[in-house]
Amino acid sequence: MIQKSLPEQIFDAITNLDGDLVAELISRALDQNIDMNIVLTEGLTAGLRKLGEGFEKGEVFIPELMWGAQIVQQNMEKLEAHISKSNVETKGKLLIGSVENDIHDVGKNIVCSVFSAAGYHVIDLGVDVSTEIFIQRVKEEKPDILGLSALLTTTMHNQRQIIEALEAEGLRKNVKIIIGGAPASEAWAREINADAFAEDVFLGLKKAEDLLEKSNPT
Amino acid sequence: MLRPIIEILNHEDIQQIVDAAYDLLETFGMKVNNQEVLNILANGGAKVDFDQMVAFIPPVMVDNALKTVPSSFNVYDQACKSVATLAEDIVHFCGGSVALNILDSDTEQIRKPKLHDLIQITSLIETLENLSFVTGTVMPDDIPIQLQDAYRYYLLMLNTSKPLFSGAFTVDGLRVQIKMLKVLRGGDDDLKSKPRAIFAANPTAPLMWGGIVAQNMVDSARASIPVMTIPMPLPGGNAPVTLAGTLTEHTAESLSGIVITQLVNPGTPILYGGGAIGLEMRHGTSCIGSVESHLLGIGYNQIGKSLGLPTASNIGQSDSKRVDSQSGLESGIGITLAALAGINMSRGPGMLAFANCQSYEKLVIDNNICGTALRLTQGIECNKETIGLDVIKSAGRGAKGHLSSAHTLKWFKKEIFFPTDIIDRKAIQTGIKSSTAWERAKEEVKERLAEYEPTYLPDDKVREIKAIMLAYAKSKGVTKLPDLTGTGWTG
Repeated sequence: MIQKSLPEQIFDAITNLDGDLVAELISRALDQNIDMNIVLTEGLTAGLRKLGEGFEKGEVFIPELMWGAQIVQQNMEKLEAHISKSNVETKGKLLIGSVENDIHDVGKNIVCSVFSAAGYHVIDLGVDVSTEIFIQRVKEEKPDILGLSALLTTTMHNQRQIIEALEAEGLRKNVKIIIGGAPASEAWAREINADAFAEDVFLGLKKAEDLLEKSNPT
Repeated sequence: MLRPIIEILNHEDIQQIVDAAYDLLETFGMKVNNQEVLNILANGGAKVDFDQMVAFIPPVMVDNALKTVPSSFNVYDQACKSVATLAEDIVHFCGGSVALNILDSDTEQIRKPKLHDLIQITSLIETLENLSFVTGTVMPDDIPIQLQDAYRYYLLMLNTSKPLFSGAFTVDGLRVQIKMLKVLRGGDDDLKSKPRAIFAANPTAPLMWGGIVAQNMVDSARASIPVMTIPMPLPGGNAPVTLAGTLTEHTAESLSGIVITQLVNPGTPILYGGGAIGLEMRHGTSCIGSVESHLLGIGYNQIGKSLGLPTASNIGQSDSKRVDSQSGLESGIGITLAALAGINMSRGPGMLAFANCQSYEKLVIDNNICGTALRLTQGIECNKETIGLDVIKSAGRGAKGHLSSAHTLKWFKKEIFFPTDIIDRKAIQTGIKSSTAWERAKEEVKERLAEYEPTYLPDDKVREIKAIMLAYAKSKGVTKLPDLTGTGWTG
């Protein structure tokens, strides 16, 4: 029987959600001087993408997807010194957080995992994030997409405030903004000059891809 | 007669969960984003980390709180008549509240609600025999956001009769409601002894009290207004996926709310409620119509009762986006289970789409489900008269049967539940397409609203409450209250 290559074995281990095996295989790959770029692209991220595809079909569940994303994240550090920048490049960078005074994060966390699985570099600012922090981090990270989550009608106005602050700082045109959360809507997104409203994580992913495609047509 | 009851936890299960909840409160603590409440807890004996804003509540504080909280209380209508006793296994229903959407009766699509929807739905609920409370069912998008909480309940106070289930999104929004309720009741004494409203207090899982909600709870307790604690953990989201673990978090959060209210005002009535709902692991949605939500509801109800408290739940709602078989089965099962569990107040009739959408038609359908469930709780009465041995013998085997007997005349309305015509029990007619429950519900909504007569307050109270609302609106930068022309408002 032809044994699978280490990257192929890592791919399988990711899709089987075996974090211990992934770690062991990566150590072996490092010892054997296997090209880490291939380990990354054909092992880790390919495996995570496979989980993401399964999730979209309803065959993989959220906890499994999040577990897979965690395994990849934990093992990325071992690879970073050995991989070329071009392979770290992703579909885009998502900066996301729950707005000020909003401490709900379940939906946001799901978005982080799904976007990560789909190949985005995700930076999660957490919950109760002030407008000032959002602006500061947009300046620092220069994200492609800014995700603003608000679950309460009393906090959703912060989504408007953040967008207005970005406009005042001359940063608005540099980033695509997607809003989410129960009280938000397409009409609200239009009203506050957001680029899109994500009713759920799948639609959010689709809209992110469409927005990035429009701004960087291939 | 045996009152049918459903239980899913035995005494040992409950004890394990409560013990674990006590442990959580003492060793993990509750985060409370409110300095005043932290001080209240510290002065009451909790160890408080003020930097992290976490209060570690020892068992003795919980035990003491459970000694002062009442095991039952009544709520009263606008005329100060007691209309609902919240105790033992007595069951009541309340429409679902704070829906951001409404199902349009004509297009059958979900849309944003308007003021006229709030007014019409409230009027409809006033006519529903099996719903004991009115509440701010929807969030009209034509009310200024600064007034969203208080203004809705201002309208309800002016022309409804049923007790109110209320809440607020701001500190001031609750305080102005208390002011208006005092006018309604004519003073603090009647406000306390004849409560018209119950106020909601929702902690945020896991084990946190938001600053505004914590203040709302304290203000309610100070005014002796009953508080419904409504933890909303999501198994696998912000609580363990194991339902027992979710119940543990739920219990800890509930107990912390009880401790806070009893420290502020010993004897504040508590309705031990909950909104624990299943998390759909394929879509990331919170599915209130799921069997997990039902199990959790029955579970926390049992725990509340074991602590000697009246209980409440959110079960009986549907996740469907239409009024259809899914909404029928989810609400049918949930409302029935709520009644069998003896949950004293279940909120949810009318709700669709993850508790995010109200529906006129679903309200009238659910009214029938509630009526059916209430009849179920009455069981079968067995005594000499109901067994009717002599009735059977005297009826003999003749063609006349029992239809025209005195026994039937006396008992048939007590024994048989009569749903409205939404439930089609007419004879089969071939060659025609029968109407649907949706179509019949639409008709019933129209009939009820056409026949509805609002209950009005005396003019002096109306003037005083209006003045309070106007002053409040101005303080929030709103110079004029919304125009009610065309909304159906007759206040």
